[in-house]
Amino acid sequence: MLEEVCIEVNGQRQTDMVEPRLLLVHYIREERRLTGTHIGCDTGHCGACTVWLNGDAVKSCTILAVQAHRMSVTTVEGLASDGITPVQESFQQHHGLQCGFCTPGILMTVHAFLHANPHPSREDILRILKGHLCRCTGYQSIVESVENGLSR
Amino acid sequence: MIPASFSYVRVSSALEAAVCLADHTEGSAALLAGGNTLLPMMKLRVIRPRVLVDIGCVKELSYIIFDGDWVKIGSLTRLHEIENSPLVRSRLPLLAEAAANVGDIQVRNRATLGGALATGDAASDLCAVVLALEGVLVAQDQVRARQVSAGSFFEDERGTLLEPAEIIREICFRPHDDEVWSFERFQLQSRSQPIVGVAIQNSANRVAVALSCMGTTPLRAKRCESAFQDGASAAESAHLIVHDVSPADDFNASASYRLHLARSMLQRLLPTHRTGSAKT
Repeated sequence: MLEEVCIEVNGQRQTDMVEPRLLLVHYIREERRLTGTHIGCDTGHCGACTVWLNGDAVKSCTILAVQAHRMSVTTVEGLASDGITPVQESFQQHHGLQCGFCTPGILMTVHAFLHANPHPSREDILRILKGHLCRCTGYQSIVESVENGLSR
Repeated sequence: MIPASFSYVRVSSALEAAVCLADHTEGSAALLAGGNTLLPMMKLRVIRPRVLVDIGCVKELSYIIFDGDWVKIGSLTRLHEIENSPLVRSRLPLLAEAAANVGDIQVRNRATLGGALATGDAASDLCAVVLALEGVLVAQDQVRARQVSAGSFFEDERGTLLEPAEIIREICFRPHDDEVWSFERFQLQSRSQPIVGVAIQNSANRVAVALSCMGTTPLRAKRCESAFQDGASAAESAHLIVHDVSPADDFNASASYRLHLARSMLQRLLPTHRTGSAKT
């Protein structure tokens, strides 16, 4: 039996009828056609699907769309209202990505953290990357991209 | 990746949840709180509940208060709130530390204390810490509420003492403001579970030693505790855990490795608990 959900994504509200078992990540990608949020694993470990749910960074593959009813979701497409953020620009300039598959998830966690902690230490940055797996960079350039994005 | 089909009910109170559970035969309905344990298992189709009762919006069970005697935490309080709560950090620092070390930020934004306890998972550091703090759980069904000490709550085989139609309401702790505590886990970064976790809490003139991953349930090393309190050395006391534990031989580590590791960690951590000196 289908359930009605009304979810605000990047400021846009929409009502849909969905199966209860529809994962939020599939809702975002397929119902809302926002494909910046990625699926990198089957087990909830990689973090590529990270979005904000009412401002909190969460793994959208481990949330059902029905759980987000009447809530606000922000995806990587909604990080900057115009252009890209200083941290996103820093990722471009400091090789914070290669294939880019893990990057949207990392950007969501980093930006959420920076809202409350605008001056993280290197240890803080490493700690918040715990929920993210990257197969390309070895993480060093990701940390540097975040650090360099702070001083902009 | 995709769970088997199920019916979905969203409830807004603990009583509604208990009524839903009672309406369904044992095992066919599951409570959905944070979902970090339930949903991955459903996505792998290891479990297939027919009904999911979503308690994520039950606001009445999300709180952290101190009533003068007890710190009371609602079962649906998220771990990131517990980790960052000034009240928990000052009165139950061991709990704040354990909460801060669960999973990652995304997990802690969803996971709840009650959800962690309801799993009764031997690998759960939170369960071990609630044991060391001698927490008291309050569980309710649609008729009445009851109190269960953490020590009795984690039972073998069935998992926990929670009845099929019960929901955990809150967990209560005596505060431990200035008392010595230790929390340490040994975990390979590449694995999602620790190999051994150790939680030690002083209170008055007693020491509680709780271990994760050292049996089929989270457990207290009672013989180690009483020997240490009676004056045995840290090494002697640590050696005695062999009587309290039955660690698994599994993919992550052998039983003998776990035993050796737990003894080493206790030998190193226990001495600070003798003098009652400030926690470093």
